[in-house]
Formats: sequence, structure tokens, C-alpha cells
Amino acid sequence: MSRNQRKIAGPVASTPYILFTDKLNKPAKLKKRRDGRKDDEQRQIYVKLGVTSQAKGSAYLEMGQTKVIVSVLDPREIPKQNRKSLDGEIQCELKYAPFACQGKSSAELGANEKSLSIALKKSLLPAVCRHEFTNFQIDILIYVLQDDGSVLSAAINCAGLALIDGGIPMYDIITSTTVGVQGDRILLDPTASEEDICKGSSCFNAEHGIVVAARLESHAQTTEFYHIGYILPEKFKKISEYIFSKNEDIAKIVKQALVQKVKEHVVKKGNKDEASN
Amino acid sequence: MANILLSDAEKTFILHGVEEDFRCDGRTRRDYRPMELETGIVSHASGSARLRLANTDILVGIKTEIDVPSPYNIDKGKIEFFIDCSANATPEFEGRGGEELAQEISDTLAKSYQSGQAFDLRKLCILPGQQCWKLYVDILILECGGNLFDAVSLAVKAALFNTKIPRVTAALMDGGNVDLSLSDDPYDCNRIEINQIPILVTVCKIGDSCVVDPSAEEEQCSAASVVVGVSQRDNKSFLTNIHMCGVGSFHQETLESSVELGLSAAEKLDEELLIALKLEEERFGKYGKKEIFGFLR
Amino acid sequence: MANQDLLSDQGLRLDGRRAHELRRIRCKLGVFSQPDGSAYLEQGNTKVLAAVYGPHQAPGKKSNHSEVIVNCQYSMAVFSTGERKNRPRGDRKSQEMTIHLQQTLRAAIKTELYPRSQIDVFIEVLQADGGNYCASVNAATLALIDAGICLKEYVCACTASLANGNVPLMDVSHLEEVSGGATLSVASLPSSNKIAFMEMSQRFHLDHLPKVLDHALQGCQQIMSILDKAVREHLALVGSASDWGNIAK
Repeated sequence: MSRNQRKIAGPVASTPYILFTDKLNKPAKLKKRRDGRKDDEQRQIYVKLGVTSQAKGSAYLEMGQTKVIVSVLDPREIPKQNRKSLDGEIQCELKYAPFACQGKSSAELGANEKSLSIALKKSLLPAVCRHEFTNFQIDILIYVLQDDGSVLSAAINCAGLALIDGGIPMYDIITSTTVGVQGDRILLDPTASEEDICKGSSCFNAEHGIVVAARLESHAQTTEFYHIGYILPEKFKKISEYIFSKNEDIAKIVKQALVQKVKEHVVKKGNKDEASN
Repeated sequence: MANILLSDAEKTFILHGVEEDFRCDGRTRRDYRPMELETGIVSHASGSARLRLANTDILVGIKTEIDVPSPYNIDKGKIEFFIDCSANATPEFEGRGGEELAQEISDTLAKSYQSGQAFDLRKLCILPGQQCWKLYVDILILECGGNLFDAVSLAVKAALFNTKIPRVTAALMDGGNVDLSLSDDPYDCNRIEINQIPILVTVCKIGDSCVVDPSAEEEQCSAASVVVGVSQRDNKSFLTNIHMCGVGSFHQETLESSVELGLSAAEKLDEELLIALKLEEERFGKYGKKEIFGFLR
Repeated sequence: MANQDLLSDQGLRLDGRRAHELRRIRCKLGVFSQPDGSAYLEQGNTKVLAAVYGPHQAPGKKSNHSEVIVNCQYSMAVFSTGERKNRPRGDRKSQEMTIHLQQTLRAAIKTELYPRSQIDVFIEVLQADGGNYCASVNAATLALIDAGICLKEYVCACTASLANGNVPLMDVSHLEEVSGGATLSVASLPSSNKIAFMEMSQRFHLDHLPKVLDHALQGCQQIMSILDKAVREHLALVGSASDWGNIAK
């Protein structure tokens, strides 16, 4: 583990205290979900638009204990490049808050940040009308305040909202869902501990895996489909159908949030007009 | 990837070819280009392989080191993938230019090896909680002619087959320290079980159809492709990872059919690779000296 | 002294060579199709790949209106050395090597022929066993020839060292580099007897310099004839379709 020299120097060899608790003795199989949900039950989602004043567009999203905040900055000319690109660019930067999750080294988190940023960029690119801002780039900053599973999905959902909030031209609403596979069970929207079990680096006989899909709702286009684990091809078909049907539920929530935002805006504007009259 | 400039007319030509199921080099949509494989060509490494898939050239070297297992997984060894995009492949890779591509490939590879069923890290453990083997899988991309994922995964599998881990003959516990003695005999070594090690297949969407093994030119014509990781176990194929690349998107049906295409290609490829590796070993004996062709041919 | 062991009483070195012998050199031109020129060179266990791109237009800022810019990059595969390297390039040693290569190659290329252009030379060391710089220069020469870039003449490099305090050794291997004394690396233009680059790793008495240098230059001369042969063979092979093969013979 890398140590910050400016902090108080600890002993050279240290052991994380978690190792002595029973948390490490995770069950290889899951019986009941810890939070009492059914297998196909999504966690509560809370959405708020326009949370940061400096950014052009921003959104905050909670999925259970997973919390992300996304800001979209104004488009700017692509810096340091030799040739002009016909399409606009998107730059995603995902950062974990230092307190976002437990028991992961900073190196591990850094690598995670990088690969999540790349995945996020890839899933957002097809949703944005890039031809509308030739030679410009949009910076999207994602800050993960707390990681309790399904981070990529939360980030995609939130970034989609923030882009819309920022008035960036888009083809469609983008939504994303995560499912975990454990034996015959398919768990919707897994938490961090469920994700760990489903990733199954200690699972040697049953099917297991994590699937994340992002989709443009009305075009029925998949912009990102990501799976790790060990599943049979037949299971993959089943999951892909399942995950897309569940995606529609998220889209409803997203739409509702957007309508709400517009309504508020209209009311506010109406009040202002009244006041000026 | 390699920057190839194609005019619109050339792109249309490739597109029409794919539609007709007759690609520029005469292949059908399900055909691979010829491959050359040679193992054991880097003498400083524990295992190595060089794969040439038409124009794509990959060199893999595997080094082994003794390490301490992570406190979270005390009974497991470690494996680390590192990809270096050599500037020899294209001047764009000079300095740090190839890092993004390298990151993407090594991430995908690491994810498809993550499952305990795909690659059993317990076999790399020497003494739980004390000592384990760490495998450094270092991949050098010397030339890109398209289809890097497939070529890299095949070369890594071949190099793992070639890897020889020295046998531990004795372990002494001296206070808290472990004293390992390794066999001096270079032929006395452990091999890695490679049957279930996954391989990756890229399925590239060009126009409305999907092709396997895209050349660099074909990659230019495609907006999206999907990489499928497939592992064989008990005569069944399992998906270890699915990863989408490119800026475009897929329709759900296209996605499903391309995963199917990738799966069938991977099964065949895996079979052929194992045959080729066994053949090479039979021909030269298990540890027999053989002449190294390397780049001289 | 470890120095004593470099040469046995019978006059043989650790790998069985005599003091004035080179390691086996094998090389091939045109190993890759994408670069404009490429070459592979083995000098004993040191194995090097070189690729040349260009001449192409130089980027605006760097452009020089009187001569070509020679841009080099030296990198080593992480598995090339006995101990695994952490990164292939960007460390001090490879940066230094890059500058040395640049200097050497500029001496050989007819730079005035390609104004406002740039030539990229990329070196990849696949296996390192001493004399990395020399193998890189030799491979780069072949790659430049393969790319059809005008050279004044071959540029060849060779190392030499001093064993037992007075016997010069030619073409030092890694083991000798580590256990032995000073290593002198020389890059020369053998036909005109010019020295393009010279570097020494340790000190020895000035009196020894002439004979060590002489050995290194002799090595360069021999390497040149090997490279020349390889180039001629390659040309015969490439041209055999148009019936040059018979003429070359």
C-alpha cells in the first residue's frame, strides 16, 4: 500500500484491521439479499439536477448507498492537437472520493478510476450529437462520493442527466442497469458486497458474473455492454433481454426528473415575470 | 490504432465486399487470416511466444517472481498484464501515445482472466499467506495490422503454455521468515494448465454485417465492435467477458448475433491453438533444444 | 580481481571467444511491412528491432529549413533484461541512449537532402546482453538503408574493453561489462575512418586508449562488411523478381 509521507509514519508492516473481523469470511454463495430486496428489485433512486452552480450542467444521483455527482463543463476548443477533428470530443474524468469505499488501496482505486472513465466515455459518445460542436470538447467530471455497487450504471445515468441539464444536444436519453449473476439467480442492481461475490474470483464451480448495459431508450441501441465473470451463452441471452426490460424502468425515472425540472423552471420563470410586471 | 487514411470510395468498396461475403483479401466474413506462432524465443523470460497474424506482430514474455500474497487473498498467487505499444508499430505510439490503447487491451485481458474458473490463481500459491508466485505477462505490440485483441490473447495463451515455473523443493520456516529452495535443474519445473484459459475474439460491425478478424483497413470502416472472451471447460464454452469498443452502438439483436459469431469462432480458434502448441512440443520434445527462428525468417 | 578472469590462460573469454572476436551477428532487413524501413539484428544474445518512418513533413514548430530532423526513440522490452524492468522507456538511461543515437545517426545521414522534413528511428531492444548501443546503431543503419534514406556511408558501432590490465577485448558481452573494467563504445564511419560517437564507462590509463580504440574500430570495420553482405543479399532477394539476382551474383 502506498503511504503518504506527510502523514504520521505508521509501522513498516501493517495489516488492515478488517482482516480480523468476520467480514473477510464472505459466503461464496448468497442466500438472502442483505437489504431485504427481492432479486429483481431496484434500489431507491434519488435524482437532483443543477446541483453545482459553476458547471454548465450538473446532476446528483443516489442509488441506495451509491452516490455520484456529475458536472458538465462548457464546450471548449480541443487543446494541443495537430489536425482539426470534424466531430466534437468528450473527455470523461471519474474520481473516487477518498472516503468512497473501504478496503481498497489507492493504486487499485486509481486503476479503477481510469478504466471506469474509459468505459463511461465510450457509453456516452454515441448519445451525443458530436457533429454539432466541431473541434470542441466537452469535459465531464464525475465524482463518486460513495461506492456501494453498480457505480458505472449510476455514473452513466447521472452523466446522461447532467448532459441534458447542460443543454448539450443529444440523440436520446441514456440509461444504464447493472445485474449480478450468481448460480441460477440474477440480482438486479447489486450492492458492493453482492458485486464482490458475483465477480467470483473465489468461485470455482457455479456461473457468476456482472453485466452492465447502457442503452439509448427510444432507438433501442446498446452503447455499452460489459460483462465479466463466467456464464453460459444461453444465460447471456436471458440476461440481455432481462437487463433491457429493466432499463426501461430507469428511463421512466429519468424522464420524470427531467419533466420535474422543466416544471420548476416554468414556475420560477412565471414568478419572475409576475414580479417584473 | 494505426492511422490509415482511407477515402470514401475505398470505404464503400470494403463495405460492399463485406455485404457480399467476399472481403478484400478473398476471405468470407467468418475467416481468419493466416497465423504464425513460435514459442520460447526470449531466453531471459520464463515463457515467451511470438504471434504474427498477417501484419499484426505480438511478442509476449512472461517473467516469474516470488511475492507475498495479498492479505485479502492469502491462498492466491498474482498475475499482472502489461502492454507496451512499441513505436515501431506506428509513430503515433511514440512516447506515451500508445498508453490508452494499451490500457484498454490489458484491462480487457485482466477482466477475462479474473474468474477463478478461467484462471485459477490458487495454483500459483506456494505457502498460503507467506509466499506465492507472481506472473508478469508483458506484451509487446510490434506491428498493428488490425485485430489486436485476438492476437494478444492467443499469444498470451501460447506464452503461458510455454512458461516454466521452477519447482520448489523445500521450504524452511525460520522464525517468521520463509526460506525457499528452488530446484536447480532447469528442466525440473511446473507448467501452467492452459485448457480453460480464455481467448478473446473481436467481432467487428461493418455496415449491417459482422466480421471476425478485421484487418486494419476494415477496422477503419467500422464504428463499433465487440470483444468476446471465451473459455472452454468440461466441453462447454463459457463467456468470461464481453467488452464493446469503438464510438458506435449496437442493436440488441446484432449484439446477440455477434456474440454468437464470436463464440463459434473462439471455439474453433482455441481448438486449433491447442493442436498447434502440442504439435510444436511434440516435434521438439518437451524441453528439447530447437532452433529459434524469431525475426530472421 | 574479477578483471583477471575475463581472459583465461589459453586466451579464451567467458563465452569461449578469443579477445579479438565478435559475437555472431545475424540480421534481416525488411521484417515489417508498415514502416518505411525496418531491420532486425542479433549480436550474440542481444536482439534489436529497428523501424524507420519517413522522411515526412516535420511538425511546424520543430521544422528546420536547412536540414532534416532525426528523431529517435530507444526503448527496451520490459522482459529484455535479467531483472524485469518497470517501464520500457522514459527513464534516464534510455533518454541518454536516445540522444546518443540521434547524434550518431545525424553524422551518417545526408541531412541536407531533406530540408523541412523529419525521419523517425525507433529502436526496440528485445533482449539485452551487452552492447545494446552498438546493436541499436547497427540495426538502425540497416533500417535506414531499407527505407532508402541517403547515407554518407555505413555507420557501425562496436565496444571494446580491457582485460587483465593490458589485453583489449572486442565486442563486450553483458557479463564482461558487469564484471570487467572500462567499456569503450565507438560508432564510426569505417570507410572514411571517422568517429561519430565515443563513450567510456570507466577509466583506464591513457596509454591503453590507442590499442583499445584500435580494437573497437577494427570491430566496426568487420561489422560493416557483415552488414554490407546482408544488404547485398537482401537486395538480390528483393530484386530477384526483376532478374537482378543473377546480376548481383
